Amino acid sequence: MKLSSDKRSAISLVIISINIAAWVLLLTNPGHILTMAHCSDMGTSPPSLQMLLIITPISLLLTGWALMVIAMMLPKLILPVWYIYGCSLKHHRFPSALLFVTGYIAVWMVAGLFLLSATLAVNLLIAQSYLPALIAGIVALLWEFSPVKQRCLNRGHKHPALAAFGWPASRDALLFGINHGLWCIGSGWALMLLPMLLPKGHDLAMIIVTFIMLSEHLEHPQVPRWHLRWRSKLIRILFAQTQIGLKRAL
Amino acid sequence: MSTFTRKNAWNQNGTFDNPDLLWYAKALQVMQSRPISDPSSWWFYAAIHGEYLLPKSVIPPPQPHQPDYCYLNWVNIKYIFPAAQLSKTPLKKVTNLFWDQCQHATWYFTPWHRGYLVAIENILRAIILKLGGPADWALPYWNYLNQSTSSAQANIPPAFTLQHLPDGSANPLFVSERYGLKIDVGNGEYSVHDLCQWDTIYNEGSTQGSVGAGDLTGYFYGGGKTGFVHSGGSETGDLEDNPHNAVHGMVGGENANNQSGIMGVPNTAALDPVFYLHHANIDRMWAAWNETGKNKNPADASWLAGPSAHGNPRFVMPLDSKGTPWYYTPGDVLTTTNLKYNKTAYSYTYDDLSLTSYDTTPPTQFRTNLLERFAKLNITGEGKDIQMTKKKKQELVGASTGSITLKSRETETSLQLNATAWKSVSKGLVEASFSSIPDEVFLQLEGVKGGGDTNFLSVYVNQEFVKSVSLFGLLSASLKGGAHGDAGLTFKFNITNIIDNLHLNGNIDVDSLNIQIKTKSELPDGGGITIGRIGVYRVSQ
Repeated sequence: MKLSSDKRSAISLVIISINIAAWVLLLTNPGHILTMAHCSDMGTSPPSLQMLLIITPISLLLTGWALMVIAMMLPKLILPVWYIYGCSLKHHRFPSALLFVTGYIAVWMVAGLFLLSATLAVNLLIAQSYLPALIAGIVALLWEFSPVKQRCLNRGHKHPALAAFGWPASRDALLFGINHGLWCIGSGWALMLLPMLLPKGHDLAMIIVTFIMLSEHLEHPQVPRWHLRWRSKLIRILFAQTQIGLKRAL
Repeated sequence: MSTFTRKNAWNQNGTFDNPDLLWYAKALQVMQSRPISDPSSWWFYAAIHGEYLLPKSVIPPPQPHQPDYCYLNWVNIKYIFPAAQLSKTPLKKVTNLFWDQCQHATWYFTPWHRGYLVAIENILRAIILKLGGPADWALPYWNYLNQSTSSAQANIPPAFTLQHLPDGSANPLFVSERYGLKIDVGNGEYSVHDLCQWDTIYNEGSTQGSVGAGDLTGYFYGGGKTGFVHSGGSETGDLEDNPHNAVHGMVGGENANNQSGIMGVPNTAALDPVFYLHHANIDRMWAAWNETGKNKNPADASWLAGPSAHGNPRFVMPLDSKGTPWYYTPGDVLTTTNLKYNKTAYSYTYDDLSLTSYDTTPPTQFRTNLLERFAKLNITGEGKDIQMTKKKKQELVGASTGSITLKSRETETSLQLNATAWKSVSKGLVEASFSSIPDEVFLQLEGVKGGGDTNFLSVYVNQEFVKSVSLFGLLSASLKGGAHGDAGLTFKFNITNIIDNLHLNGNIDVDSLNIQIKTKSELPDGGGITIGRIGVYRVSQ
């Protein structure tokens, strides 16, 4: 059953508000929580691992990563949260949605350990070089148009039947979040790595990557095959909705 | 500008004495002689609706203990003959633009199909003119619900059952993979009707109509509003559900090996020439719903602008063998008079625009008319001015405890109702008044997956029959690598009347609401149909 439009709007508003707050923190970078900014601040010679971890302790790295995931991924969770609210008993709605989001972010945090390690390793070997970002960009492009990525995107559209009662309802919501996160990592890992490897222009790259990921997430499922797809759906939506809004206003 | 008239295919007893059918068949021979790479060929036009050709792997090869659906792959369909040259498919950019557009389980169902018919009608007429046929030729329609000749018109017109045309050439209207020749018309189990014509609302929120006015599926006449993404559940409107889906299933039918006929599966359906006569009838019903029934289409800008309002591809049809595109929106095809076709005004009408053909009186057994409901609940007073709110609220109140696999033609299960949530429903029924409208209650089969699109499901609650639904589209919605994202189908049933009766008789057991699901035909060997969950929802005003 489709959730009422009021409820859908309220959920969207909450998620987008959190999302905006995360972006503000990322872009203003108070207390230098954004790890990539640290990497770009380091000199031209490769630092030692010890020095890197002193400048950017693991806890700070993970905080920055969590913020990045919340900023870049949260809008993608609006539809599944609508779905959870729509098919859950009233008293399960919020806890189930929270478990779903927790499961989703948890798997991204695990993925973050690997992606952050890769970034640190690159910084140890070649600091301040665009070469790793260039290689990551090529990999991301190849991955972008591959059938494997499309399969992951398709699976991301899957909304499983959730148990309605008791602890199975909570279990299913958590598993849904974990599964959704895994397919999301499958489709987005290369794109996420790209801004992290850039010595400069990290913020702009994050915004562009978010735009691409939101666009591809909004596309209908497609038959998985090698296919050159331009991820412009978000632009098309914004353009069409602006046109409709203007027509209504005039 | 002339107005073309689409006429009943059963004129002249549905034989080739009916010039509309004879010229249709002759033009089809020409279209079918063209290869699939030609956008004006029969095969290309069928692929616009949907296809199982690209990529070859879309239907998985036979698996142990799983039904084999490879017979639906176009390369295995006998009706498609060598002239189609299936191995020479059009360029990717052409197939990406035109193929696999059909709009099902969405509020765009009616306008997309109207444009589809207008486009092929013009291609067929151009061929007919070249062949020396009538300049005013228009697509005939098959009104299987027509009662004027004692239900005879429920049969497929005889011209579709003959192997040869009067000149002795092969009859393209004859399809060997069509296994159903008659529509079961009625209001009972596994039957086709036109109760949908009594709906008064196109989609939720589009009109502030009378409370409870006609909503057989929960998605009103035209289907659920489709937004940015269309996944996670189908929202089939009443017209699409029955007669549309049901007729597809019945005409497709099944052979002795439980294989569906091509008309019964969306990605093969438009290969069957009777498809266009069926859709002409659906279009006729929509036109009658607007003109005779005085019902309004949505005024929502997102509907009028079509899927592009949400960043999705526009509706587009090829006009000729070069693939010249005609882009259109629902707003362009709102009426059959002066619709916007390729930058010109195009008009057609039907020789019969009666609102209904079979259900000539408003239904009472399905339609939850509020006044009748109040009378049943012993509430008296004046309620004529009560208007339905545009914003309804829904809440899950009960569900099955797991998924359900249908292994035989009859499956029984029970649902548990949540005592707290159900209290609101019970309270609403006890305290019902004209100022406090009791909830409506819906049963929903969620994530239905499997195959056998021509089969039907019937649902019973506490042994009381609710409704039958066609499984048209089930296979595509269940394919793992498919374009529907393995979401399965969702079916919604209004069970308010049954709940009212149970309430009046004091028979509601919150721990066990009995559900029976029956299938019309046997399930294929080695695999059944699964239902992810059955949910019960209250919908409050």
